[in-house]
Amino acid sequence: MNNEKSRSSNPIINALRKSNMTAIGAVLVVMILIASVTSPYFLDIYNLQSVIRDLAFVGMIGVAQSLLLLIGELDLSVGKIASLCGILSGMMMVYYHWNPWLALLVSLICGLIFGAINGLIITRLRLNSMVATIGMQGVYGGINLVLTKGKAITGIPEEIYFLGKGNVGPIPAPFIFCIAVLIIVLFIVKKTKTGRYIYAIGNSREAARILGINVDKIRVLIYSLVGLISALAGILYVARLGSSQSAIGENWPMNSIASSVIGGVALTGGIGNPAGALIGAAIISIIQNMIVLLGVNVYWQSAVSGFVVVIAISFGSISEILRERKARKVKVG
Amino acid sequence: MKVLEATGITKLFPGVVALDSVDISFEPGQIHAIIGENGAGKSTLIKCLTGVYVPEEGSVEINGQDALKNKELFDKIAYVPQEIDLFGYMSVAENLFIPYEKSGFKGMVNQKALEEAARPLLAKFQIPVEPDELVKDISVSSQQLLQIARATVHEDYEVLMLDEPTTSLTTKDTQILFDIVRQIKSQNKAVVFISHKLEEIFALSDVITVFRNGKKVAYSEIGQVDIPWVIRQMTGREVDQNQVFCSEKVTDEVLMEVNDLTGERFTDVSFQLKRGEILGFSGLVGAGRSELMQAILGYLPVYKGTVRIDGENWKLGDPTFSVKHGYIYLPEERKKQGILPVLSIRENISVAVLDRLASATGISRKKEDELAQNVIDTYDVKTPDAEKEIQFLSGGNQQKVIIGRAMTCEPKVLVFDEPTKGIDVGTKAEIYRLMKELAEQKGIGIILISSEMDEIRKCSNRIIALYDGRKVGEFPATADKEEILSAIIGVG
Amino acid sequence: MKKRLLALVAVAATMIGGAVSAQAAEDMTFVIVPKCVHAWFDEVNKGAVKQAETLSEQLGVEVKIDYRAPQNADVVEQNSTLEQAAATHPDGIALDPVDYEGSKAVIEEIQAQGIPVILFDAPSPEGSGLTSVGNDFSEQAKLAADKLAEILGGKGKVAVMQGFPSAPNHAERYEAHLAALAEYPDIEVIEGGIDNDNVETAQQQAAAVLAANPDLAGYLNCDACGSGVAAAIEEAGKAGQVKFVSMDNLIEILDYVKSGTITATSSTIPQMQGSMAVLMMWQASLGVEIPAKVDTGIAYIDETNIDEWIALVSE
Repeated sequence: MNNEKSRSSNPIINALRKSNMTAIGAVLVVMILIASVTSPYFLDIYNLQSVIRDLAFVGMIGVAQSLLLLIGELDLSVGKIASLCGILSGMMMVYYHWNPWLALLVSLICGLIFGAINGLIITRLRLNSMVATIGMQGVYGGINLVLTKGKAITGIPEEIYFLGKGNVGPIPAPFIFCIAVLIIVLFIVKKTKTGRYIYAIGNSREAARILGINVDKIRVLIYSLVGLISALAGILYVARLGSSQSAIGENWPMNSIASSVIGGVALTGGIGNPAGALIGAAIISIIQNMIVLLGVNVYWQSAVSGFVVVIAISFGSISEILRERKARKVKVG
Repeated sequence: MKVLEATGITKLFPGVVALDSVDISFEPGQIHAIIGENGAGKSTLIKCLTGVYVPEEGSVEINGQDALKNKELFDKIAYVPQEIDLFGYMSVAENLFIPYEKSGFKGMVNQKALEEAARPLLAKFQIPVEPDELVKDISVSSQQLLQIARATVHEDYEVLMLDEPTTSLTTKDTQILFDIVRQIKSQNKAVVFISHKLEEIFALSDVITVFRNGKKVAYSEIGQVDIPWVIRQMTGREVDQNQVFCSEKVTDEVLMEVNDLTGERFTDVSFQLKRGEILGFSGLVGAGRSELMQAILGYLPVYKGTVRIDGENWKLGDPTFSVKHGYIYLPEERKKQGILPVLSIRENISVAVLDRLASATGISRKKEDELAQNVIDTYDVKTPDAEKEIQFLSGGNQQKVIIGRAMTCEPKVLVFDEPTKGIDVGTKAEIYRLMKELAEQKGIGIILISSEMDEIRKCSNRIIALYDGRKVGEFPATADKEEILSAIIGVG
Repeated sequence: MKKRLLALVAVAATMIGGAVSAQAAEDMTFVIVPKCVHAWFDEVNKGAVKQAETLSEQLGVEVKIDYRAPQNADVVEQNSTLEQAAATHPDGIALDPVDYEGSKAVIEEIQAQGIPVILFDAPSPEGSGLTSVGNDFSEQAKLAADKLAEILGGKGKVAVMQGFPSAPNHAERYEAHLAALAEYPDIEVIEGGIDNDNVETAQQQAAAVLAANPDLAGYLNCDACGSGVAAAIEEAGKAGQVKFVSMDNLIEILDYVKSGTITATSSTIPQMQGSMAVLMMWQASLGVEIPAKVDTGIAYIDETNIDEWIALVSE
């Protein structure tokens, strides 16, 4: 009921207010300004590139994860799918000497399959997505350990390095992939039937079923897409490090969910825009970058970055609270 | 002496004047009925009077003091909302006394003490449950009474507001409720009674205020007016209470044929629906009517039996198939199963027919806008525009959007499950008229599930009675009310 | 292979010959409980199995190694692993404790059953009386810091990245780095970030440190995530310009030593820890008094011996 109350008659303000990304976009801009002013090195081209390269990974998974959040579910196995697919690509390229491009393609398909497996067990066995994916991340992580015993795979063909390390003009290659993922996801969400169905399911799964929407098919589809994009992030990270490491992606599940929520995607489903997840990822990356640039004591870093994240999330609701209070004051006074 | 007085209340929503300088006051020892069509401003008024909304203009005084400045005064008002908002997984006693500070339980909460304190209250309201039972396990009727008991637990309230308290009550429980309300009145409290059921208003209240389009249009002592007067004030026109709405173009063609269908809550049900017919399903809550129709949709399982619609053997267990091939179900639980609350009216409508709107390059926004506007115009949905979130429409207007959406799917069989639940008299007649038109003009078959005997007799061509999941009778529309009643309660 | 083994206590040689099988010819089982499933512990196990084979030959009885790795580095999980192991009545248990205080009660219970317990890969906690087989992490860190200072000619700006501060060996290395660098008045030490034992975080933090310190001359770290720091140095185009001496001998780190981005690294010798742990357990099971501390040494790796190490690790 809150947003009904706070609407003004100005259509532009309403439009901005209705898009829950406006506040968080403003937070991002403010953070970039603060970062530029407080540290002379923030705008350094190398620093910007490394921040953007970083956020591309969590960003693309966050964009995918936001699709799941939109239907009121989540996937905690994204990191393990990413690292397992990275390891599989490494094994195909290094141990079996496959053509690198074929290896990458097959790894992506593996990610798609892992995602589909998640989706199928969750829909067919009617499991809670959180519990099921906690279980599945154990499975994918376990397969990873069996295959590698925790050791990295080195000797990745250098021809794929540019996917992770390279730049297109001044733009880091992984970010290009991230933007491509975003564009595809936005197209799905805004322009296709599937996108509309995603919002419908997030609003009310029962109503969606009664409307004749094949809810389970769409859920499996999204899980598969999330698996695919996780695999993409995983193999791009292999290209970035020049080796397949089994420990990558550990922070990706939580950071992708945090990015989406910071970006205005509701955990309860039905509300939000996947583009917000990219803004959220950017905010997290800039916070982490700033903390080091400004020389925050290493033992304080986690506390400080946690605190700033909480502030970033609260920004939207704080402005709402202030506006309400002001309105009341005018009324009473 | 006025305990609660509101003067010049104006509340604006974008594009809508929800309340237009309303004056209203409530006196102790008086039952004050408030009535109006959905969207007339009753709920908004209640929210202004209970401190949920701050009106743009006007004042709210409680015992002569400005309540907008002093919010604690709103604690004097005990409000019982229309929807049940109890904690299902907590005990009856806990529900009664939460929050404990307000009900006099300080410090640690002692389960035994809570339960002992609950007993006299349960006895007073004649709620047949034990204090330690979980609320989710007691009947809806008991929940409704419990909710009212809870509102009156802390005794310093001076105004009791009941928002549609009888929608889920049986006749017997309604009587119990009325006795209690009269008792509360005799304790010199003010009672505000909001209801769509005119008989109840005339049976219970002392004075009546009628709202229409955000304005207070009439006020009277109840003894001086009658039901037609109230309807006239509410709708601004005459509504014939005795008008019937059954289809006049029933054909001989069997549109749908159900044979020996057995599922979760129904057994061996067979019936036929003709093209152009409105077929009523009567029964008590839990008789299996909704389950039967949802099973045909594919939403619930079918154990045995067959369905044929329009000559086609029906695939059971697949809602996508059913909707695509023309069997559409409009659920009773409109808020949970019907609307997509935070999406716009446009999106709520188009989601059913995206196949028609989408091409390889995306969904045509132009076609979508046209479709939404067409539904809004055809079904007379009251809204500033198609972009309004559907959750902010009144129940009747939500229902019209959902009917409009169903019709864009070009159904062959359309199932209305309690289509007028929580909908006011004027809008009810509109929905009846719509059903009649659809049956007559579009050549479809309509199934109407309703617990209101009058409604089902007014609208149906034939009536099937279900009792405990079995078909126990089939009656012509002209059948005697008592005859149908005895069938659905399992006698005769 | 040129390994510089520091302060290796040479207990092994004398012992093997010593106690020949006057004992009843009974099979023996020694349990090894690492922190968790990890490649490094697999190497410990390899050393232990090799030693067990030697013992079997010498003693004429079968000496078995029961390697029980908990799935996660979690003290509760490790305690239940310990209890299950003790239930099989082994002849000794070697443990790498996740959290000694949390396992203290279980360890004492097992000792009370007459099963010898020793620690490996961890210092002996004060007052525990437990024998510890392991290397000196402070020594390893000091070695790296001194090496870096030598390469830099004793001057310049050096960043030190902290690992996972609650891991005792990471904390120990961090302190030792700082203490060693303090000996060089012309070296300015700055904070090099904190990676919480995560390669991605290492890369992220190192990138920001490199951006904020264009004049950085050297880098040190405290855990096995050196490949993240190295990747950041390469992305910054500062390979060779920023000298980085890292820790541990994981293959991806060795690769960077080979390419020159990492100047040098050092390694604990896990196989030696396994081997020594088995010997100590065997001695203890015979009732022979064993030393409080066995130092298994540190191996230093740079361009001179990198190929041997890559070959060794890739086995």
